[in-house]
Amino acid sequence: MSALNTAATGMLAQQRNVEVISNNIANLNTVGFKRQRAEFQDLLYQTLERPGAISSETGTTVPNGVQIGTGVKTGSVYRIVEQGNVTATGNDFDIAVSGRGLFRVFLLDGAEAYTRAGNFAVSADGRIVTEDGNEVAPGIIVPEDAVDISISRDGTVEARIAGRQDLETLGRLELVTFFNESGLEAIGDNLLLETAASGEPLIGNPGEVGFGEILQGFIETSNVDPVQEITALIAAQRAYEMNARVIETADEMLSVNANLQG
Amino acid sequence: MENAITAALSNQIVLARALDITANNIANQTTVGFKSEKARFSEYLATIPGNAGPGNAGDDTVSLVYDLDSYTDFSTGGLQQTHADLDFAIDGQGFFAVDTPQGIRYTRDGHFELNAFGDLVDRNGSPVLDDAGAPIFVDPELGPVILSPEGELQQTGTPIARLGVFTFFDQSVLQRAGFGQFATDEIAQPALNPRIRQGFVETSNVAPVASMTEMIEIMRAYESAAQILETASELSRNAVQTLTQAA
Repeated sequence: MSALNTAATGMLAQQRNVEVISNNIANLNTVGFKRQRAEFQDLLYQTLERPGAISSETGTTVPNGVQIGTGVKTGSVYRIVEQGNVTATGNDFDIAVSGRGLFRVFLLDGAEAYTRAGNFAVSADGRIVTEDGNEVAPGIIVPEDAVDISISRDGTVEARIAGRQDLETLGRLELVTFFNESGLEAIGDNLLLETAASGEPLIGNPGEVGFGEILQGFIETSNVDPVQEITALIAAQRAYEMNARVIETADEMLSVNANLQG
Repeated sequence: MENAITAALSNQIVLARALDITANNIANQTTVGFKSEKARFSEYLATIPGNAGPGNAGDDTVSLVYDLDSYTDFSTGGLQQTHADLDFAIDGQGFFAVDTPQGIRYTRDGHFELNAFGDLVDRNGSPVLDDAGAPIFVDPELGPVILSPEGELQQTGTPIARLGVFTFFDQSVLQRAGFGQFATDEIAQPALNPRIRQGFVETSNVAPVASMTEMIEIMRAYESAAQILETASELSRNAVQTLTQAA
């Protein structure tokens, strides 16, 4: 009876489902977090009787055959890159992207990572950095005597220097997009890495075709919808229980025969 | 007497397979685009030769049961909103076509992605085909993919392709190939005016509650067959005992 194994794959799948949902709920308030979704695929089928096999002496044939599935597997856990809500913070260095695009960030080991979390700050040497201190590309330096920073929708960073009338342009923020943004690998700390599945980064500026715009003084909240996650959690739990019941039933059926009084 | 045992046994074999099928349905109750499988049983009249006697003209027959076939229930599942640009659900009949290394496969699982080169691919990385059977290329620099009400994929107003939706005159020609896919040698017909929803996926059409009651029915039937086995063997045991005492 393969029902025992089949139900075990079902339980495993639902366990994975609960793991993904709980991670979404845990990151409900994480800036720039994109929710994930576990999706499943049926496994291979065992064909007991080939369609078209002769089924009787008069030559009738089986139209469909008997196909028995062997369970379910996790097909993919993919990130839904839908825009999160944008919340005003009033902080000059909180920058949200409205539309497509990620910020490029230099890690301490020189590698590049990508993030949607635009809660930036200025480091001791005047660089615009992420909350973990990684420098944001292309590397804009804010002078010590800058009193007022303004970042336009197209990413141009301007500063008013104390004692001067005109705004000084410090640089322009850049954004990157990928052919397959869901193919990026998450490494924690709101950072994502390029993979073979994501494709090469396409670097551009905010406001250009295919790239989003910059909103200064805002952050993008996570796109997790708590109600949706909780209902998904309940559904996953029930599905898990049902698979457990299948195991019980298969076990009971086996014990019926084992306990036959011959 | 042996006939009763054979009949009950044939019933148990079939019920065990039916449970396997139901278990697979229950395991796939959250699988996108999954279509549930149903078992169909048939009666098989086995001839028992040489049983002719007074009041019995010819051979006896005993009615056994066997699993004639299993068939796929192609009824539509629910639509679930995912908000993902490249998730599509067919509202009505038809299948998406994907080009796998094993040949063209048909699927109702409309969760697609772009690969590193911008091709629209399914979960397994196989290219999704348009209505003419060609792969679909999306340039991410041209902005998000929008499905027009006429079923055309567009980027910033420029049409790029028409998602292929294919139908079959007789859906029972489709064989399950696993991974949400169906295989067939038959020629598919492009669907006329398919209704496709963007940002949705089709949920599994397994009705969990119905599957649970089905499972309970299977178990009870299995138990009754076991009861027959037990009764039949008890009868023969009694016969042996009675006859040996009489002698």
